[in-house]
Amino acid sequence: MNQALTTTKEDHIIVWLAALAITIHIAEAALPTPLPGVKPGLANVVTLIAVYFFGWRIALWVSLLRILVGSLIIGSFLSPTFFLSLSGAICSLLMLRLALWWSASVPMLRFSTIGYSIIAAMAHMYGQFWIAYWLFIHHAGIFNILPILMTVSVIFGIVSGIVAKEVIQRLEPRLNLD
Amino acid sequence: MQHYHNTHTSLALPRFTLGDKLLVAASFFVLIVLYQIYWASAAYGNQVEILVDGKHWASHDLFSTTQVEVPGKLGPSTLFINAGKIRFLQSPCNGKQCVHQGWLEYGGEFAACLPNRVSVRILSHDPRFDTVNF
Repeated sequence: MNQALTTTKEDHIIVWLAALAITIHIAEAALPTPLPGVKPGLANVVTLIAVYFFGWRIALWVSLLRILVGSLIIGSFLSPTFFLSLSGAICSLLMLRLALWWSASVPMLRFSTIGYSIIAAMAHMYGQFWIAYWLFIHHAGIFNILPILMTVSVIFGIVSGIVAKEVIQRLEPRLNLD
Repeated sequence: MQHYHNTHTSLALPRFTLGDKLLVAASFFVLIVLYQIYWASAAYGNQVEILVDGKHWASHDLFSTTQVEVPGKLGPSTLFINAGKIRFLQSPCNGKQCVHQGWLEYGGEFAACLPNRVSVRILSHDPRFDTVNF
């Protein structure tokens, strides 16, 4: 290549993590779901790991790239599914930012990866739900499924938080972060 | 040669911080409140509101036996009202999710045929929603 594109170490980290997240995202898309909007969200484990090791900004990139590329591969780009997952991701990243501030300013009550995971999962579901309400099903009746969806998100939030924490604990001693 | 030693072999769950525990408690509290708000007063309905394209089209008494033809975007949807319940009988959509949803009888319950833009909502004296904002 004549025109060399200079990439930073950070770019490589983002792309590697995004590739991993996209793989999980697509594998998960193949799973049948009992209710629209309900899925384990294991791709968020990658986001949580990114937050832990590299900070929120990189996690933001990883998460948005996953949604963009994941939807292009699955074929849902610019479809309702895409907007639902985009709004969920934006909402959960913003709440994650707040939660990180909380941990920094109130160290006694700081969250671990599990706490971040629960917050991210609930925010994801809530953001997604509101977009579904405002854009697609403008009907108060869909609020009836909100409690179920939020219950599922709390459960999956705890599960993927534990998964992320286990991965981090095994990864940390082997990772050379310089 | 790399040896993969398991650095921690215990099967114990990872440690929750105090913040995590409080968060789990808070989220359970939120869930209880959500169930109370949206599920608690599951009273039987007495009226049904039929909406076309999100707008009020007709109201019916649930305690009558009628068949209603609702003109939707794709064609007529047939609703069947009987003994305090209502269901979609037929709709010109592909998925037929509205038909498969079956009978509705509790206040606040709803069913919609999204392709045909027809939806029904059960109303009751003690509705689950104080206000509905559109």
